[in-house]
Amino acid sequence: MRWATLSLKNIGDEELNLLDVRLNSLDAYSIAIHGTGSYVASLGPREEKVLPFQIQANATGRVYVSLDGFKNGEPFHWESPDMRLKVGQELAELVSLFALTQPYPPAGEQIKCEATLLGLIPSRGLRLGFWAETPSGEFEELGIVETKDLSGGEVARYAAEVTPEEEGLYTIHAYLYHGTRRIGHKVDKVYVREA
Amino acid sequence: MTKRHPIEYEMSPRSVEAGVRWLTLKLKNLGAEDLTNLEVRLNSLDTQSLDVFGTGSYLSTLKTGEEKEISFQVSAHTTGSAYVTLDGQKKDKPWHWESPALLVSVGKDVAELVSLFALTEPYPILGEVITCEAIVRGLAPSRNLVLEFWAQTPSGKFRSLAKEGMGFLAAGQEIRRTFDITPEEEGIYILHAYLYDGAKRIGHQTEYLSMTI
Repeated sequence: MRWATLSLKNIGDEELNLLDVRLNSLDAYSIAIHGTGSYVASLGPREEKVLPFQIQANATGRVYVSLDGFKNGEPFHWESPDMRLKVGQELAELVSLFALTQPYPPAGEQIKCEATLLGLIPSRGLRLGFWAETPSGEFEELGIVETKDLSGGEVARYAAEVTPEEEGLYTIHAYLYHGTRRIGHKVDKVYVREA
Repeated sequence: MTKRHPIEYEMSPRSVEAGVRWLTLKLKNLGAEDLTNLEVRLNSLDTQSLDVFGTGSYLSTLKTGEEKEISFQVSAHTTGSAYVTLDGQKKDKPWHWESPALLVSVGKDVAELVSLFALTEPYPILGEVITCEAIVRGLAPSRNLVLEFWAQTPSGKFRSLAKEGMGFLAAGQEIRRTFDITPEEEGIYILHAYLYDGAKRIGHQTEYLSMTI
C-alpha cells in the first residue's frame, strides 16, 4: 500500500467548482486506487491544490486523473493523459506490440505481430505469449516463446503470426511473464475486412 | 461460456444500468489438475468507467470439471471493460491465469466510438504526414456529440489535434472522421480519440505509433 500525490493548478481564467477529483487506473490488477476520490469545493484561477491518493501497487501500470464539476455554472469534465507509474524493479519492459499490416487488411492474409522488449536489468528465462481475440469472441494462442537472456538497455524483438478468417475487430495480445508473474501486457487492434 | 485453457468462464449480465450493480462470474476448471488457493479478481481496465469493489474472492479449490459462481459488486458509470485473474496453485506450484477483456455496457449511450486507427505502414518515419481515422456508430438519434483528437508525444507533451461536432447522427449510422499528424520526435506516440455527449465522455480509444528516424 502506497501514497501518490497529485498537484493540480487551474491555469484557466474561470473558477472551477464542486470538483470530484479521481485518480483512475487503466489496469486495476496492476494498480488499484482506494476510495472514491477527493472533493474540491473550488479551484480558482492560478490556485493550486495537492491531493493524496492511497493505492495498492502490484505492478507497473498506467493511471489518469479526471475532474468532474462546474465551470461558469455549466457541467465541466477534464481528464489528463495516462501516466506510467513504475512499481518496483522489473526485469524488462514490454515496450510495444504492433500488427505489421496495412490498415484494414483483408481476411485470409497472414499478419505478423511484433513485440519489442527492453531489458531493464540482466534477466533470463522470461516468457512472452501472443494471443488473438477474434470478432466472434474466441481467444486463440498464437505462440509462446522463451526470451533470450537480456541485459540492461538491450532491445529484443519477437513475432508471431495470425491469419484472420473472420471479418471484424481482432485484438492481438502480448503478455510478458517472469515465472507466473505477469510483468507486461500490450494490445493492438486490427480491423479485418471481407476478402 | 468462453474458454481459455484450462478455464471456461462467463460473466453476466454484460449490460447494466449506471449505479452500483452486481456481476456474476462463472468459472469451470477444464484442466486435468485441481486448482487450489485461488484468489479470483475482476480487474477494471478503466476505473472511471467501471470500478470493482473489494479485493476479490477466495476459492480453496476448483477441482477438475468443477464449476463455481462468484459475484462482484461494481460501480458502473459508463461502458467499460474488465478482466478476470486467478492466482493460486496447480500441482503445488504457483499458477496464474487471466481472461481477455470483457466489455460491460452501462446505460444507453447515444453513440459508440468504435475504433481509432492510424492509416500508415508499421514504424512510419519522422516527418511523414499520418492520417488517423475514427469511426463513430450511432445507437440512438443525437445532435450534441463532440469528437476530440489528442496526441501524447514521446517527450510527454499532450497536444490537441482536432475537435469537431458530429452533427445529427441517426441510430445505426456510421461516421468516419480523420485527422492528420506529422510526428517530429522519435519514439512512441499515443493517439487518443474522445467522444463526448455534453460533458460526459462516452468513448475513448487509443492508437500507438512507433516513430523511427
